Amino acid sequence: MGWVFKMAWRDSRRGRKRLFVFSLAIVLGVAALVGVRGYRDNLEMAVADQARGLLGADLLITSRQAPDNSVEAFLAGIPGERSREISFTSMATFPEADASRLVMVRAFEGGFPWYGEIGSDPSAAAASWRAGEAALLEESLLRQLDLGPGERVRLGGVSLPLAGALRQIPGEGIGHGQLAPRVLVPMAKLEGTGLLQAGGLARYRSYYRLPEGTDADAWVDEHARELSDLRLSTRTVEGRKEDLGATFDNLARFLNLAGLVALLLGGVGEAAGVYGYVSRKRDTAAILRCLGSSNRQVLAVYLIQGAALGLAGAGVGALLGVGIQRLLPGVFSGLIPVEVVVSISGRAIAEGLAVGFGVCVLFATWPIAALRRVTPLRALRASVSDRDGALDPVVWAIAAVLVAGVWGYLQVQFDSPAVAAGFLGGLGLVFLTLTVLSWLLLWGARYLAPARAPFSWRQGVASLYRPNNRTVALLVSLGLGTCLIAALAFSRDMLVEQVRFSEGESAPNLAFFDIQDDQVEPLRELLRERALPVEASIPIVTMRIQSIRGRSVSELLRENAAPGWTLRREYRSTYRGALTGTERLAAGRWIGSVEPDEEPVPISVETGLAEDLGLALGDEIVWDVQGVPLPSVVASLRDVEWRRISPNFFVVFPEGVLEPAPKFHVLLTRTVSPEETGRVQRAASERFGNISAVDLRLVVDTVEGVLERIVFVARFMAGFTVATGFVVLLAVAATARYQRRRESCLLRTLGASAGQLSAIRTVEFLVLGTLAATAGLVLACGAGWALGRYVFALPFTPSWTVILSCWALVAGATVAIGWLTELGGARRPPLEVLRESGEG
Amino acid sequence: MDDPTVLEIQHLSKTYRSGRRDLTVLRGIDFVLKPGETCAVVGPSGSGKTTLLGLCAGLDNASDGSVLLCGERLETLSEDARARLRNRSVGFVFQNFQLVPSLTALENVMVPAEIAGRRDGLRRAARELLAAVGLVDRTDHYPVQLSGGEQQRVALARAFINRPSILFADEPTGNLDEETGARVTRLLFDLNRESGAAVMIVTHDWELAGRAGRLLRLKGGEVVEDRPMEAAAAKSGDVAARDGG
Ligand SMILES: Nc1ncnc2c1ncn2[C@@H]1O[C@H](COP(=O)(O)OP(=O)(O)OP(=O)(O)O)[C@@H](O)[C@H]1O
Ligand SMILES: [Mg+2]
Repeated sequence: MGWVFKMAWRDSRRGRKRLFVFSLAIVLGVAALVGVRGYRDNLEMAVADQARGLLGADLLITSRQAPDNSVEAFLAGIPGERSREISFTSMATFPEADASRLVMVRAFEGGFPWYGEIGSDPSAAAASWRAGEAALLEESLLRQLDLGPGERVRLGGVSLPLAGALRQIPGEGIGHGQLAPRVLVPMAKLEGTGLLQAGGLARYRSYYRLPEGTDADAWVDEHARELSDLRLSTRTVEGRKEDLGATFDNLARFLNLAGLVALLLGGVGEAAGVYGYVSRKRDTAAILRCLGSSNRQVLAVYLIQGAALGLAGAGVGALLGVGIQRLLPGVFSGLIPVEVVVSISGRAIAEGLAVGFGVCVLFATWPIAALRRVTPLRALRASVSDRDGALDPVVWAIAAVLVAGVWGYLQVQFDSPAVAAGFLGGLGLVFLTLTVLSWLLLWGARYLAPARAPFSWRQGVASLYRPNNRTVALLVSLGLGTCLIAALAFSRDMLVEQVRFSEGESAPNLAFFDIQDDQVEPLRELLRERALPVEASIPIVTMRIQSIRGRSVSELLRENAAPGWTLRREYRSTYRGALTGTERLAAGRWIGSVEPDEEPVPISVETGLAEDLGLALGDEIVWDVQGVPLPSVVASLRDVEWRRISPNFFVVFPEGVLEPAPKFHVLLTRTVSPEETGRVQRAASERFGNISAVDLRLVVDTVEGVLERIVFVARFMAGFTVATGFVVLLAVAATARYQRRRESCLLRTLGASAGQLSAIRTVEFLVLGTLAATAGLVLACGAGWALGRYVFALPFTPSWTVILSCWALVAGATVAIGWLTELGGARRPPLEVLRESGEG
Repeated sequence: MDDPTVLEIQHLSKTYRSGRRDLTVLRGIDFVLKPGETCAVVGPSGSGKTTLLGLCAGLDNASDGSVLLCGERLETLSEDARARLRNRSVGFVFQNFQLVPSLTALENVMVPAEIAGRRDGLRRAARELLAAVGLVDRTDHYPVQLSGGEQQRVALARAFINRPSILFADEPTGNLDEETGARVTRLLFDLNRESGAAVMIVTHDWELAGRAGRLLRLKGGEVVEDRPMEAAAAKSGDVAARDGG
């Protein structure tokens, strides 16, 4: 057997560089798997380490209403130390910056955080703000307004000096401060602001450090009944850990999927490369057989090369994966609320090596198996064809192992045979569609190419049809990459489109919240003075559910009849005579107004909520409208487009009932410039301390910002597939190099100029890139249409910018890589090239 | 070897089935080759010479008849067993040299011995053989770096590395000019004299055929002439003339 290894080593000598390039095809896939897996291990470790810091406490109890005596008694009776927080949104004014902004005011009292630390700049500020009667302001806003320590923030009737920038509260990701920047203030200062009023939305939190040895989860289970009666929700470290784990697991699954796609694509590319390599080894196989080596020995020679290829690919991939792992904390920054310390994960590397090696060897075995069919007679008679039997069982066995392996991997990832089968099917469908598209395009290019095109054009296009050129494999791999980037770009466009106002320029862009009844007229007056239109004035009445179909909320909560938040929450309902542009009647009859004494009141409920609460038309709900019971009946169901930024409601009452109830208003207007928005915001918050003004443009920008982050992560992962496509191109184009060079030598001998030769090459790769881009874009447009139709509910219009830039990227890179493969062997004399018998 | 024959074939037939038509290339051939005997196979193109050679070496299966090579009945052996037999007892020289392009001259010469698992003194033996064919200074060159004649000399060295009992050669000078061909021919018989192998050599080259001890003429898949070369030498012009047709 020693000879087999020696022969494998020697035989690979002249092709080692090329074999290494083939192995590179799987490198990126392996790297992605190792990186994601390793990061996940690191994250798990970080979560375990920082578990208690995830919450800053052992137990967190939240109430959505000011605790009354019974609640307060219950909360005070919990053993251990307690720290309180009250939070709500409000306008803040920054006199030095001459600006005002909607912020999340968070007033703290006591020792929170019990575990972990509040991150601030300067770091001493986190300790000093409470004692110094100062505030900590969200870092992004502080920087944006260019404020420094000592400058002030005004909240209602209180003005506080800023102690510094708030970076991080234990357990909260950066996403927390994105929509409304956080302002931390001492609880003692809250009273003076005068901002905490009845009817406003506030959260009351109690953070506990339980006595040593108390099991928070057991405590919650024990007190489940009281907690639900008092409408309190809880959070424990274990629960938080699980949530976090589940969130990241979902993410990791999809990232792994991206790695897997890159790996499989790389495998296909590698197989294409090895096929070209092996088909030039058929003579060698025949000679060895003549000289007396067995079929098995010949196979072994090449399988050893295949295994070495796998080792190299998996090894380099794992190494690169460790590097990728270091990048991931940056990629996910802001999305993950723990500090992840990157350390090398042996398990991730072992797993990546095993999967990469397996995939690599399987895909290499595919073409190598064909060597079994080489007959030694080939040495005597070059024209003799290999023994054929239509279907090689080995090829089928490999295909079966691959499919089973991929399915198994998906099954482990998703733990659901149906989902695994779905992905496998989808993957198969994508590959199949791309293959068919590639065939069609290739066929079309041959028959539709103008017959009178210049010589170099015809020659370049003809090069694509060279035997063994693997053009279809190239189109598939480059096409898949193109498809991914294009589909991502299309989805991003649609998402952004959805967030933006469909009405465009005429849409309201400034909203005032929390307007009291008696403030409506003065505010209107203020807008009139500035010649600003009132686009809408919407009354809002807060209410809670008292009972549904005669059963009280506490009963329903105990029975788990509906998600807790739907029963516990405070509903902000409105009344009006007609549906708005973002609503559509789904069932029942819309009733716009009723007589004041009509009971029960016919109301309209949003379809999703109705589903959660198990409501049907005609069901009775009794509302608790700030102490007064109000019976109602579900008269209609509405579909609501929540994703549009405009005031939407779960429950809409008819006109005629709620008018006398205590309520507040939302007023929408439209300004012409951000400067004007700022001026109005400031004027309003000076006149009416309690009114919040939200610049809807900023909201859109913020949502877009979050979206861009997610798109960035998706792009990062798609990048592996795209790059793999190019590596495959590099590998496969290199195998055709010898043939290309031979052609060039011949053409040169026949008198072609150097310019003509390079034109031929350029045309070959340009057409290849263009066809691949076309295949990918066609598929991406199909995907875009399906997404638009079934996911985003938007008409899909492919953007020419995306299409053209994808084409330019793919075609450009293809030509560049094509030229790159030409570089290596240019020094070899043409005579030697022409004399070579087929071994490149 | 106590067996008096190296190669013994009986009623050997080969029929190719292409589509619906059968093409019988060899019909009932019989002959025996003794150890050390040298035999030239001649005949017009398409008469079945290469086919016969392939069958004798166990590279292909006969349609009928049997081949006894070095005491083994080929049709009873598995492919691997035939490969082992070839490795042990058979040397090959091909018209288009058939060196392994990825190996150097020296490595090419060593291959058969390495397949057999030989190690000791192998490199020296290979070097000596290369020296015998006059290529001792080209040991590290690859086939593309050698001329046709040089490649064929490497192939000759390779054919003798395992001291075969029989050497099969299919038009070994067919791709070479007259002078180079003559040199290869001389080398082939020189090496053979030392090793004492039987030789079955297919050729159109009169010079080469003339050196063999026996002449076998094929025509239309049948042996039409089988006689010692001394007798044929007298009619040498005749051989060349008929062969040319
Ligand atoms: N695989 C095959 N299928 C069908 N016919 C074949 C096959 N191989 C060889 N033949 C035919 O068998 C006949 C004998 O071929 P062979 O190569 O043995 O002749 P040859 O005597 O060696 O000729 P040459 O002197 O030209 O080399 C030819 O007519 C050839 O066409
Ligand atoms: Mg022949």
